[in-house]
Amino acid sequence: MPRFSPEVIDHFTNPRNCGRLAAADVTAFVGNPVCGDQILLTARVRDDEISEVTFEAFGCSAALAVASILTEQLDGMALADVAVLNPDRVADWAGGLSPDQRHVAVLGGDVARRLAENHRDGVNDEAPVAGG
Amino acid sequence: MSQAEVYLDYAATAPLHPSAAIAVQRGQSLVGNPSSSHEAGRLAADALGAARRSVARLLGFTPEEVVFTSGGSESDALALWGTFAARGFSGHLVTTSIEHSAVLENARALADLGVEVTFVDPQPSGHIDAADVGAALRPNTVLTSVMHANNETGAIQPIEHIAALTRHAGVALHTDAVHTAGKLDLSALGATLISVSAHKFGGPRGIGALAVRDGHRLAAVIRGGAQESGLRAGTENVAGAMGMAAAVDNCMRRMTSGYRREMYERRLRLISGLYEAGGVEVNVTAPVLAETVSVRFAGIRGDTLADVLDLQGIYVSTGSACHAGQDSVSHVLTAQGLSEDAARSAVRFSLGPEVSDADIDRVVAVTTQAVERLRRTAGAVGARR
Repeated sequence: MPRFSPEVIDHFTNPRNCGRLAAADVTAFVGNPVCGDQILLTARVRDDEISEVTFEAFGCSAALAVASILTEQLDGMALADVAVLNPDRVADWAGGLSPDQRHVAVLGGDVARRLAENHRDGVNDEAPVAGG
Repeated sequence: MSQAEVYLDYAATAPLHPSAAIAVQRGQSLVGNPSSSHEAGRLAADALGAARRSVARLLGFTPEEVVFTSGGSESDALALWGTFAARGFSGHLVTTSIEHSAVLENARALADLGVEVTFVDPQPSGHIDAADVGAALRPNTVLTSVMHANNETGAIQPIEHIAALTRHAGVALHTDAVHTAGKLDLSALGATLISVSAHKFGGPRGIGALAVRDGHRLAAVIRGGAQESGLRAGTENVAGAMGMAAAVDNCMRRMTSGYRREMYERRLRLISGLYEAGGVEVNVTAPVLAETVSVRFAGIRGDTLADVLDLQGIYVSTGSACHAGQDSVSHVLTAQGLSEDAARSAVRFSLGPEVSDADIDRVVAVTTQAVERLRRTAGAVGARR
């Protein structure tokens, strides 16, 4: 039985939107302090919608894939929807995650919601905040 | 395996050697129980005896001193439990913090029963200082257990020096030689007890041995029969023992050829190629088992690199892994003094006789490319590591 879904393998082997936006409107940086997985998102926002988003990620294969998946799924999404993103939806985007990979859906949901919160509050993360 | 696949996880298990596979088949055709007195039983007993003689030659013990077990973990358990069970679970055990969990977990369980246990830490090089073991010995020390070569780093431990110290102190010495059996000469180690496992050197899984020097008091862990000199009850795995013996014979022939030099050259080819990726450190210094190449790549995670290689048909191992958001960091590398982040960036490539120079070159190319991509993905987040 494969360890990873086709979506995870696709994004893990061919990550999209990798890097940091030069003039981002908002930055969110969340890390799991136990296993060390970290995702940083930088985004531009137009009319309360995410118009461009990129990632940097350190961690297990599923965490890297979820970071890449997030950048595709969040692009064009209303911040109001991002603010309530839950891990189940992230896991669906990832084509399903096994129980031992589930923590990356939690991390993905945390960093996405943090992005929306940071934009609302006008702050950016310089260092990872605990999540995942 | 397809031509594109490269198996570099020999330290986990080695492919079954063809001569061992044939021997197992021959063994399975023997219907008798070696304990039976009829002709069928005697044929099985003869085959078992021949296998025992081969394994004894590998270990430098007499055939009567060889106890067949189910593998390395059982051999380690019998060495530790058997020694202290024979002494009412009293006395002192000296071992190291870098042993395989088959030794560590038994040592901790013995401590729960009242055995005094000292864990000696390694040097940053990955090696145990024999003097540290000597300093840990006490008047009531019964047993010292130090592995011959570490399973994660390949660091070869100074067993002969430790044996001289323990012999002088009148203390028994056990060595887990699971990773050196069939590769290095075990006959002059001077240990009282030696654990080996067949599947690490081309034999079948589910068979191993513990060499027990005559005169060492040992109690059986598995009881209920007189097999294996009363030290391991249960009908013997005749086919497994025959397969193990065939693998031993093959390894002993190879040890007298230029195989060891070829293996060191292949190790150097791999390491020098991996250095091209930059930010690469080898986790151990000499003396080291040529087959075990433990390296770490700054700014990436070893388990993630292993996944990339897996998807490209290259099979390696890592001492650390992320499971369900919980961390599992190599106890060996952290005992050497590496930070948890550094230990998480380690990968173990373990070589064997079927690995070619072309395989090594492919592994180097794919690994270098994968490391570069993972570092790009991590960006400044990874550079903080």
